[in-house]
Amino acid sequence: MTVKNLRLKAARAALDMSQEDLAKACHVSRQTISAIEKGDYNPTINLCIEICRVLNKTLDDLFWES
Amino acid sequence: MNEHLLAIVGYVIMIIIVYVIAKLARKKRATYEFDERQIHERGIAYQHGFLTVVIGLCFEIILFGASPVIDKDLFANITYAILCLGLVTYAGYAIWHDAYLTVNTKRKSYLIITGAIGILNLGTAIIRLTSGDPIITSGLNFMLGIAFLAIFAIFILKDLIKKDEEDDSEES
Repeated sequence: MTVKNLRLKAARAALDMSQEDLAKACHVSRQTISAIEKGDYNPTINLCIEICRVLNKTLDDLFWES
Repeated sequence: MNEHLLAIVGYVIMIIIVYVIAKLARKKRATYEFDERQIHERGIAYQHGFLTVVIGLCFEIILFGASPVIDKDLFANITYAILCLGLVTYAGYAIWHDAYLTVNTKRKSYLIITGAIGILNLGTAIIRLTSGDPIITSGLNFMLGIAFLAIFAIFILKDLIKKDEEDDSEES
């Protein structure tokens, strides 16, 4: 069962970043960011950390179940 | 015997020279990297391609093992077809999951090259057919032409679908 990552999407939208912008900042493809947001791909911890760094959020904020 | 040995030595030297040139050329080019998701998907694509080839070759061996006379040209052409099918399976899966090209690769030029190789091979096969050569002698050209045009078609189809996906993902 795929679970969408809406927190990531919201955090990205709050900074007015497109998927492409976030992908470039994290050195991945746009499709990878799209797949993470849709819940089709589980990123590695390194990518999670990189995304958090770019969006200025913590792992708890974006990826861990609250 | 000496001629064979010379030929082998010549091939080995050629391979070493090509390897060295490729290594030197690679250092000058920008590094093309796949991201972690792409590496994962390419691994799956390789599995599918590999299994396609293995299963195809098993069928071929069973088919030809049962017949008393083996036509060398037919055997070769069926092998080419299986290898091309494996190639298309691998490339098709990778393209469909956006794992075939890196972010840095120029998509348009890659498309043009793929289409050109397909058309050239198919064109060569058709010309040989029309000039009277039996179809079995131009089998490899046919297979490669069809394979590369299939890869080209998958690229185009993916581009058409991707455009809709991009619009949806940004709206929702």
